[in-house]
Amino acid sequence: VRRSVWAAIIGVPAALLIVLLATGFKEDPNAISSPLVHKQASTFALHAIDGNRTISLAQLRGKPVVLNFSASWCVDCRIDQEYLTAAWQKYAGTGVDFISVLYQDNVASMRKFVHQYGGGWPILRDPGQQTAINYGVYGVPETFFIDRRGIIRYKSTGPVPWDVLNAQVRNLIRSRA
Amino acid sequence: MKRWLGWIAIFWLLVICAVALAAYGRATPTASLNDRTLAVARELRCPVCQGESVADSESGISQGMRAIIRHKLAQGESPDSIKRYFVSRYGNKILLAPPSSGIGSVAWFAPPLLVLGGMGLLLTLVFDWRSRSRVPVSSSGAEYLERVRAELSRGDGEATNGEA
Repeated sequence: VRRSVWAAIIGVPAALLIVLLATGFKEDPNAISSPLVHKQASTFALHAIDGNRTISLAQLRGKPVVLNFSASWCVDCRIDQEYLTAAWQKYAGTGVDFISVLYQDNVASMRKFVHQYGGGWPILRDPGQQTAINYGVYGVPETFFIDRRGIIRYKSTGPVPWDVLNAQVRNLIRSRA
Repeated sequence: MKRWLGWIAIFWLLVICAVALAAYGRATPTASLNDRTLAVARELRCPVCQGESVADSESGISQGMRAIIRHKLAQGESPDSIKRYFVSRYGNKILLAPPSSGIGSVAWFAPPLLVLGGMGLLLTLVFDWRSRSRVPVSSSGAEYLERVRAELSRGDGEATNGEA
């Protein structure tokens, strides 16, 4: 009896500790999950860097939106920008709106960046990173795929791989208003 | 008497610890908006830094987060509601301390439980050892004691004879 009591005293907490640690293996330490996926996207109304116009998410309701946070100083954003440019050209006329939000960057550098790596869709200023914080942005590039009902369907951290980009844009096009 | 003094000292030590913890955990209502902003920011992780709080970081995003905290506090929102807002955007990873619900609660409850368990184990062992030391003298021990007594009584006798 004594031996079984000792086994229980040492074994039960050890088993609990192992179970607790094992739950950690279910998570990828490099993955940055977002609680915003499958939720309504936060509204915003921001000034574009070109032209005297304000673009809000509300005015895009009913259209799929690819919302990208980017900066000219970010190396990964160069790759991302080239993929996004290719997708923007490929899906032109399908009703998908591409929008970039400037992340801790200045307008002149961003213009140069677009000239070098492509673009053509609206780029918006984000004073105080309020929109980036509202979207829980950890770093750039990050891209949100928002369906016609304004629901975030997918979030990509880092440059969006070409196949993922295509698959997600096609999903958005298929989504119902 | 000495025993009572020990218990009183432990009681006051616990009271002082509880008061200190309560004072550390809450900013006083009279604290300035800046102090209250920093108190909330100290509990949030800077999203683009390594192990730095929003209060300590000078990154643009942390400055933006401090501005949001300040604005929300000025509007009368509670620190808990502000933390919930950031958790709703970034997830629990944005909190520097693990949450007190779900799997995160283990980090809060496990240490005191382990300490209590350890103390219980130690007390059990001590009582066990003490009860073992009170085991009645065995028959062989009793025989040995008889022999010692007999030897002593003989020795007494010899000494008495010598004196006489």
